[in-house]
Amino acid sequence: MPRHSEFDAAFVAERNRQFRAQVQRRLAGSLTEEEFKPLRLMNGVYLQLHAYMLRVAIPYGTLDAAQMRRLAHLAEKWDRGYGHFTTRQNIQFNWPKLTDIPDMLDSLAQVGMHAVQTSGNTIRNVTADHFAGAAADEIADPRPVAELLRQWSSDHPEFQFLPRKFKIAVTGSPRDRAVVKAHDIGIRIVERDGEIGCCILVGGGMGRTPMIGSVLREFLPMEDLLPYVEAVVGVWNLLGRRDNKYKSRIKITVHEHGIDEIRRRVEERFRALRPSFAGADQALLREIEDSFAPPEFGDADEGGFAAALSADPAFRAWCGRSLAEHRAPGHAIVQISLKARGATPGDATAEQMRAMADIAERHGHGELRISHEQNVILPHIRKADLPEIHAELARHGLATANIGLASDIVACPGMDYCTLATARSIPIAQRISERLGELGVESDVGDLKIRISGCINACGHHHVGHIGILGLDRAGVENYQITLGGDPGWDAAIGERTGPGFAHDEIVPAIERIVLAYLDLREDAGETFAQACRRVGTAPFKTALYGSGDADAQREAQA
Amino acid sequence: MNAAAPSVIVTDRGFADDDWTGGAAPLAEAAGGAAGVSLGPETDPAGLTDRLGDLAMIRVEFPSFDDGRGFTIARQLRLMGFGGRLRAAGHVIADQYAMARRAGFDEVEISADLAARQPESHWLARANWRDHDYQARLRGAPPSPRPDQPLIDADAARPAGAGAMTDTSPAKAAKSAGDAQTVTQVRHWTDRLFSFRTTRPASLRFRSGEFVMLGLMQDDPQTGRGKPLLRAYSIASPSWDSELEFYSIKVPDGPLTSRLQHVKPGDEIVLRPKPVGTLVHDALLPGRRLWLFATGTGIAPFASLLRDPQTYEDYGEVFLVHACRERAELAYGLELVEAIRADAALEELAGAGFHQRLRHYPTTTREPSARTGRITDLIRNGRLFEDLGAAPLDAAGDRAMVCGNLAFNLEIKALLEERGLREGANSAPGEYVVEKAFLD
Repeated sequence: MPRHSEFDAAFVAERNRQFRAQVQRRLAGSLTEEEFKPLRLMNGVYLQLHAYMLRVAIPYGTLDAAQMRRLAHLAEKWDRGYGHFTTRQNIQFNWPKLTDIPDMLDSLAQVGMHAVQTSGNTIRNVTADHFAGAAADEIADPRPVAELLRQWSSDHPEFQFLPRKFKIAVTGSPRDRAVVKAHDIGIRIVERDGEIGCCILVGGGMGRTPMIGSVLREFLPMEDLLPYVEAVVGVWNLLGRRDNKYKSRIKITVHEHGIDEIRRRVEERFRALRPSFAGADQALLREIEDSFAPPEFGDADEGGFAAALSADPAFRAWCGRSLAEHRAPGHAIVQISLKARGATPGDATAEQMRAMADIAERHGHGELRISHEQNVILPHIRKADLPEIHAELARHGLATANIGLASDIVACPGMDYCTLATARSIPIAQRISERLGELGVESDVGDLKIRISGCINACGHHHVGHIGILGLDRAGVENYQITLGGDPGWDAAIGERTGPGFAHDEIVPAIERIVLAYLDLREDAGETFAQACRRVGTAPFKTALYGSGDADAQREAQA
Repeated sequence: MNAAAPSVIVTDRGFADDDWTGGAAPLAEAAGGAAGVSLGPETDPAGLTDRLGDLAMIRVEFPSFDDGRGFTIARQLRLMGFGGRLRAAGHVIADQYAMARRAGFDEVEISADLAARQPESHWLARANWRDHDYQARLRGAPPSPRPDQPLIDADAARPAGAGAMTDTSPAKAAKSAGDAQTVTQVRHWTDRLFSFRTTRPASLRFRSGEFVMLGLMQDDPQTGRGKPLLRAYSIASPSWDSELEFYSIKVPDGPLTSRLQHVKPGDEIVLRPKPVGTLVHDALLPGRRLWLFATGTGIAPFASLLRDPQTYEDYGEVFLVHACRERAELAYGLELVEAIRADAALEELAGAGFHQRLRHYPTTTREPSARTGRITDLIRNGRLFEDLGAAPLDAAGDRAMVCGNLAFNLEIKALLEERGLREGANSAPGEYVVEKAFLD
């Protein structure tokens, strides 16, 4: 496991000292509210609907048992006993007092954690594949690259007051589990003629203008990565629009200027920047790679795993959903669902966090991951230990067997917490999950990603959900639009709107109709929802939603 | 506070009055030869490519503190080779001071109102902008292996401040290219200044005061092949020295000096053995007194001339007038003069008591010291001559060599012309010669 270096520790300590002083200077009037706002944002402090919110970075989703326990401690001491894991591998505390936040940051620093650049118009926490370092299909562990980018972007003097936020994701697998095509910069580690390099995508994003990233450079040698990314962000910093925050993300800049013009400017700036990187970054990357070396897995006997599978249906069902293929024999990647039926997606109590930390320490080399699907991962688990782990998780309400299923819903905090939101998302997620449970069709339906955003900022990534739900405000009434055909993987696709939205008491039955329509439409049980949707298009689903009348005509009638 | 109150200039030493007098008109209105110019945040710096050499000061405007374009503009100007004074002006808050300095700005210009709301102490709290700098750490040269220090910290591994002379190692690296020379000594004078010595090509002959092109190999991202990145450097050593010496500034993001500052004895640099320059005795008509006016690293060619016996053969009196911002930056010149005065070999050639004919006048412009003030002011108000007990400049017997930043060169040129001195060249010797000091 990588540990914060002395350099990191000194940086974070200084940063926390500065923030403590900034809070005091705000209270004393030296900083106006306008000036204080970006400073608190770049330290992870939001002003939410009811209170301040602290968003803590979990860089590339990797943390250890001690760090997880510290998050539990923060939840208990300064919040209401729980935390919320987000779609960008952060954790949010929703109820801290502003004056407590410097102490919370100091407490985090003791375990090498921080909230630097988790919000604001900065380069945000760099995310990566949550199976990194364990997945069987990996070309290279993406986390060393993500860590290099984290260091490079931290307190970068040019990029603290960008036109808008800037998000980078890295994957090292052909199967994209990091949604890199929906990021401002997506980095895909690739191999060409035996050399490891990067495929750079630019201009993807969610929000109210969802776009799939375009390839800016097919193959970039690894030693050119930092100057190249610096060139991209520098070009955008000068070119990106500052007159309209909805047109300031790089996806709009790329759209307005064209990918070829952006490429020309980036390559020109890259040539100027390249000589200023003399090689220290590559030496550091080697060090980082060493620190990410996987643990010794050794020969692992599966023990009583097979026997437990046949003896215990609950265990079997849980394994069927929660395990992913590990590269080492006798091992598995375990996903812990934070989507218990009727619960808030992504929430974990302090007690649950400690339970997961204990299991990781006892059975999993002390390692934990947070996925962008708001679940927790134990990356290196011996199959022989699974029955014991399952029993322990069940004791803490963490053994819901719904990973990847319809009730494994990603939802933003919505109107219950967020000032920007125009509709509630969590209660919708809870009710969909409960309804699908009542119907008992969930395991038959299989893989289905439902994503819910409470406003056009799309924090719930609804555009890339197989079923996306967007909550809007229509004349003071919550209204939910549905999109179909989205996909978060490497074949990323933006969902298509089905037609008029549904009121809050109509949306759950509408989702039910879509799910039941899929069961009728699919060729066989092997055809997933996404595959069926690609094959038949959205028309049959629209019929299921709106009846046989043409949806467009209906929309006009309702408008 | 009223709107007409003068603005405040913030540097690492806190608040000061604006000492820039060269003007800074908006780019569209600035005259062709203007020494200063103001850029709005919408400016594409690439449009200034042809003008950078003429500019001594660029002022980048920040209409609002949350508009971060100015930081990228500053960085780009530095990457384009701008070595003059770079100022962030407008709504820049104390919390952004470190960002401004790291992006390449020298100073920040704020309103009196802002200075009152965010007093000097808030800004000085960020004068430590060199600390905890991830980007500098990543941009450096790869460190040599240090088993006791597994984590890499390129900058921390270097001697900081006025360090001791590093070991003098014999040239050991093989000459891989025709123009490769080996570094034999490196010395860091301050965190901004360093000097180094290299082997001298057997074929290189030069006149004291000339410059050569030198630099490092870099990979061309287009072709993947190495090509040299070269800059003009005055040779600081005299023509008789068996090695070559150079004195350089470290520009934080300078394409060359950001790497060159990390050279160690044994490293190779590229040196084109084609010396040129006008700061040579040949370009001056015979005279009685020689004035050497330098700012910053502009002292380098004079370090060569002052160690050349011909200087004392040709002139009865030699004055070295050297201005730096801070006291620590004068160290190179002070040690140089001290060494010259103690040099027995030079005494043998230049005659006994030659060192009494060498007068040194160091002055600082930003930090208090024994003598303060800008050279041009000191000439204008006569204090220079009073302090030295010397007669004012006179075209009949005085000869001058000038090497400094562009604004300084222009200003002193005008002063010398006013006093009847005419600029000389190799082909047509005159009463004074000028050259721009090295700035990455």
